[in-house]
Amino acid sequence: MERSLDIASQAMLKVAQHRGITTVWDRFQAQQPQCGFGLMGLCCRMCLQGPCRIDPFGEGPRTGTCGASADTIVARNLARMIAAGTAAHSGHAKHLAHTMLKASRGEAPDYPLKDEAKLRAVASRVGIPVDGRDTQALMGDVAAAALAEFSEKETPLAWAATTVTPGRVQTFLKHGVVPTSIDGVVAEIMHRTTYGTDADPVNILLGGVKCALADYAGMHMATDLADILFGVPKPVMARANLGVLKAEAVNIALHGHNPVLSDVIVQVASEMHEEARAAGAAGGLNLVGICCTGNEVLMRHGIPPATHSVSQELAILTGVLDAMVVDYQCIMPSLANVAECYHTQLVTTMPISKIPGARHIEFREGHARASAREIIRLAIDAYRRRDPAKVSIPDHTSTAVAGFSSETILSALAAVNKDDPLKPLIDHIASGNILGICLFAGCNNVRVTQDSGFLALAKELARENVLLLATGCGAGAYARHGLLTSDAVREYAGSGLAAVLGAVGQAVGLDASLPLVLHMGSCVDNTRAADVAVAVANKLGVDLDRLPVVASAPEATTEKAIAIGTWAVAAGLPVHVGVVPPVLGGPAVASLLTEGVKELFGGYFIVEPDPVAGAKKLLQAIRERRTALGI
Amino acid sequence: MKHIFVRLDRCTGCRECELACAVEHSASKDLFTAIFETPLPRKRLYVESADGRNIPILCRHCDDAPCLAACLSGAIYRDWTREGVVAQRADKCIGCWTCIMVCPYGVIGRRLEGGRWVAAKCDRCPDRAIPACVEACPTKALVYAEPEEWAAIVRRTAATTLAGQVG
Amino acid sequence: MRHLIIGNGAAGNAAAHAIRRRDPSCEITIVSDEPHAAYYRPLLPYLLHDAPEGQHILRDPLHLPRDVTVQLGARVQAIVPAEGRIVLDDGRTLAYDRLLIATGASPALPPIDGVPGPGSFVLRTLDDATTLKASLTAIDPSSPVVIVGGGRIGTKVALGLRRLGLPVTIVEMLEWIVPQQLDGPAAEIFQAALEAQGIEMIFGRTVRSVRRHDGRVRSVILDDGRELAADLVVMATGVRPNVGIARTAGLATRRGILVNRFLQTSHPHIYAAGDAVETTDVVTGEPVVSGTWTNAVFMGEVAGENMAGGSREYPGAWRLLNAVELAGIPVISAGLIHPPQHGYDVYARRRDQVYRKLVFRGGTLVGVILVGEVEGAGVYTALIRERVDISPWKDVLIQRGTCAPFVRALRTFPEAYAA
Repeated sequence: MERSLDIASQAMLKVAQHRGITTVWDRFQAQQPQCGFGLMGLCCRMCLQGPCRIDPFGEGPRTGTCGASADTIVARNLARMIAAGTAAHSGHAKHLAHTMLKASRGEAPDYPLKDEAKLRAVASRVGIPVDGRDTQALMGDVAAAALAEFSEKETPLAWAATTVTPGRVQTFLKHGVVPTSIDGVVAEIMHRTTYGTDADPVNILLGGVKCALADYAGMHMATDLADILFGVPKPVMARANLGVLKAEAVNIALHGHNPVLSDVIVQVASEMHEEARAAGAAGGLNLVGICCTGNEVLMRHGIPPATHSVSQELAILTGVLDAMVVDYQCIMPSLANVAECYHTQLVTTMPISKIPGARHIEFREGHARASAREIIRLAIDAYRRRDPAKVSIPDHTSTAVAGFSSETILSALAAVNKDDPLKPLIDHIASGNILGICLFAGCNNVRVTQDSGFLALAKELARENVLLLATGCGAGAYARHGLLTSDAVREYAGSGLAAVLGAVGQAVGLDASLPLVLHMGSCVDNTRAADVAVAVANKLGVDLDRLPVVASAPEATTEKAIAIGTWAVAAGLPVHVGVVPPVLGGPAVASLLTEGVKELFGGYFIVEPDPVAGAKKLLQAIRERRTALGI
Repeated sequence: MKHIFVRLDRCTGCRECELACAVEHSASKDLFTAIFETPLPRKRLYVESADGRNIPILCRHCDDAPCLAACLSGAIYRDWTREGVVAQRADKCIGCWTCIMVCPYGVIGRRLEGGRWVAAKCDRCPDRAIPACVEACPTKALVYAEPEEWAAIVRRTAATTLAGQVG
Repeated sequence: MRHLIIGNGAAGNAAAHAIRRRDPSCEITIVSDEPHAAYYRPLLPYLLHDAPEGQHILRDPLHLPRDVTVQLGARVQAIVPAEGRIVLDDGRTLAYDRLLIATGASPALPPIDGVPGPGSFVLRTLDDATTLKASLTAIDPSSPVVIVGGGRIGTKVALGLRRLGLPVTIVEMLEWIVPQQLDGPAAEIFQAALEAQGIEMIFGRTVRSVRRHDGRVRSVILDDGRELAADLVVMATGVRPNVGIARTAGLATRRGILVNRFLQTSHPHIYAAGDAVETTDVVTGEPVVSGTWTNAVFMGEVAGENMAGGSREYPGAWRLLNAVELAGIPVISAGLIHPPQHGYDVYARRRDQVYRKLVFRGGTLVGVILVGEVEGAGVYTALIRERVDISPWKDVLIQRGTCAPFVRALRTFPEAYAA
């Protein structure tokens, strides 16, 4: 199997081979074959009488020591994955909320309010009086309301209840899956899945859905607070891929997720080019992004994304990366080992995320700019140790237009119809110019040739006039392959879709079409796409589970992706997953996720590793819904 | 002839060999698909435990194989085209279970083939260079080697242990 | 060296292999009174209803080692030990240096008025099967059949004839079906399955006579006077060893031909193996004549090796060592399954169609019956044969047949493992 479809990644893999450097692909190979019980979700390690595993071929034990069935074990494992994903997304949100609270109290002066309109919009949405309020106090109130979402209370999570359709709220109430506390529901999953507690697979999965809705709330909060502190993204153009690294500059890669760190580094870097030049780097400082931090700083500052997900190690192999600064999530510990072979300084910054072999500089929000300066100086120091013999930058970049927040999309539509912005979109869907909408999310996965799932699905769906949205490393894949451009529209879009993207592009004053895929942000930003869908649903008075809207994570990797997929299903969407999740060992669980759940929420999982077949199934789901709507 | 040998100190009892065996003997040879096959594929080796040790029990393809001697329909035979593997022609198996009755290791089971129950025994993976169980073992507890190579491994291990005790 | 083997069955063929393995250049001749090439005798019942299992009944013509002369349709009239030759009924004589008597067994017919006779059949040879099958196709499909003897052969024949749609009744002298191999609870499982297939069973009765009218069987009369309609009778009442020529030649015989532990008869150049031989039971040490294919192969191998100069000891036969599947239910029984009341521990559990019975004497296992789930049975038979002290593992063994604790005690296994 080819490791990556990305030309720059391919070039760097040759370097890795030449230098004998081990990458994620080699380690995955070394892991083969992987534990079949684990792949099936049939291993239970939740008590000291275990581990227990169930023989999927029926010859060995049918239950664990305690009597838990295959379905119980699979459901518990899945629920815990959702809880972990929720904890990660909402931890990211909580970090922003604490920062905003400090900022409101004047304890974090480096985080001034950036977007007052968004602050007011969010505050009024979650029920905080807005009129006549001073922004500093309002920031404090919104931060406090956000933090309250993590605590035990008796009311539904505001960030979920106020952002979905009324129909969804009713459905969630009906099935008892309305979360009231983000941390509470994560803890509840840990409780109900512990030894001798919830053994009913359906009940456990409903618990998982409730947790996933808390994940949704946490993600929505993260996006909202980031926009308030750092600005609502607007379309920007940048180059993408490893070719954005510069031989003559001090290169710093920002890797991880939270703009609390990266945004400040970007701000401070603009003031430190001279220091870099003084160290001999004629090009000054060159900041690049990796993974979703890359998406955050791309959307708000036009920082070029170097690479994403499975290819993160390869950035170091260029020999010109002087520092990689990370916060949390999706950061492979192997980066320290790869960095050891080069001069690259790996810098960890978060107290909950340290890596052996990395330099740890604790990032303090109260002294954010000072922390950022210290980190940048480390990079400049490292630059002095760069070994010219090891420099090998792949000569490859693509153009990428990014930064389509829901606000941006709605204002673009308003350029077409000022009084009723959603009307053109709805009209085009009704007429079939747009067959449906697909949101691509999730990571790369080493099991899949990097980007192959994303690219194949996008091409299949674009040809059939499906409007494509993307977030996270999926959006990153499209950036590196030139699909975030109007050129890609000409190459891949069906005529209806091409006409719509062209018309909106003209209306907003571009002399080009909108890009084939609309980059809506980092992986924590999936609710931006949900907001658009909810707006359409509310406008039409048709709930989400009837709209021709689908989602796909063709190369999903993380527990966060499982949580997202689960809330997307609960939101009523058919959700394609291109990697088989560890659920097949529980036949009832597997069938509930792919079929039974449809009766409860309208959404369901489509597990299909073949991207072309996956596209067919998504198109079929879209067409079924169009037929049901009579369009 | 190469045999499958076992480094007992390395077996963690994970049963990956059993899964790999079943998958190798499925129609699809793919785990995710195999679990949905009818009939379900059967494994031909067994990880047991005794005296606190995990002991994978595998067909030895014995020189004086009792199953071969006892087979009363000529289904079990020695395949000299494959170094003398004790093989089976499923179409000749009448499901009398005499082989199960005489195998002292208890490594013959029953499986459905073409609607009939026939004996399920290790075939040393005719489609593979290295048997699936050996390849699946994450700790390399299973060793596919000529007896001479195996003896060398055992000697080396003993020497190392001894050296460790002395030194 | 000239090796002569009387009998082309399991023992004779196994002996030919063993001889050739030890001596690549000797002469080997097999004489058989059957006109057919070697076949798998246990498959005979499958021929009656054309079951797929019967398709490969003839042994592969290449199964014998090279340079073995086979004389088919040659009946041995006499052995002349003093002269080292045998006399065939066509008058020819064949000289030997070593002789193996593997003459097998013949149906044992109890004293029943009208048996043998037209319409009464046995099933021991390929010819028997052909004759019986021809008669089955000639009779009306609703013709009742009585099978005398409810052992394995009787039951298999009954199942085969039911497949053909014939009404079948088994008359068994003892209290339950396959009494040699099953105890009461195990038999219940099979009887229910046989009944479900429409087979009638009468226990504790014998057949007194077979009645004919116009030369055709009409009914059988039981010892209690009951009359059962029957157009055809199959006698499945066991076998007796073919010891005639051995006895006439002056060799020591009792029920079967007597042999020493090298399977030598009372004449040092003459060996015997298979169903014709009387030996001792490995479990009880009592005299036994085994009639199983497995035992015949093993004896043939040992005898052949010794004829070719070896000195391998034969450890004895099993009075009971049998595996069979009847009505889709597998069963394996071995050793002492009906122990005396004192001095034995018995574990027996039945769950639906699964039954396990283990018989222990002190720290050793001496008998086993497994019905439904037979996997691991060979571990039990090995433990019985090797008289392994299993006391620390009794609880484990009751659950399942695992050799894990015994890998070192069984055969030459340890070299496969290193700690």
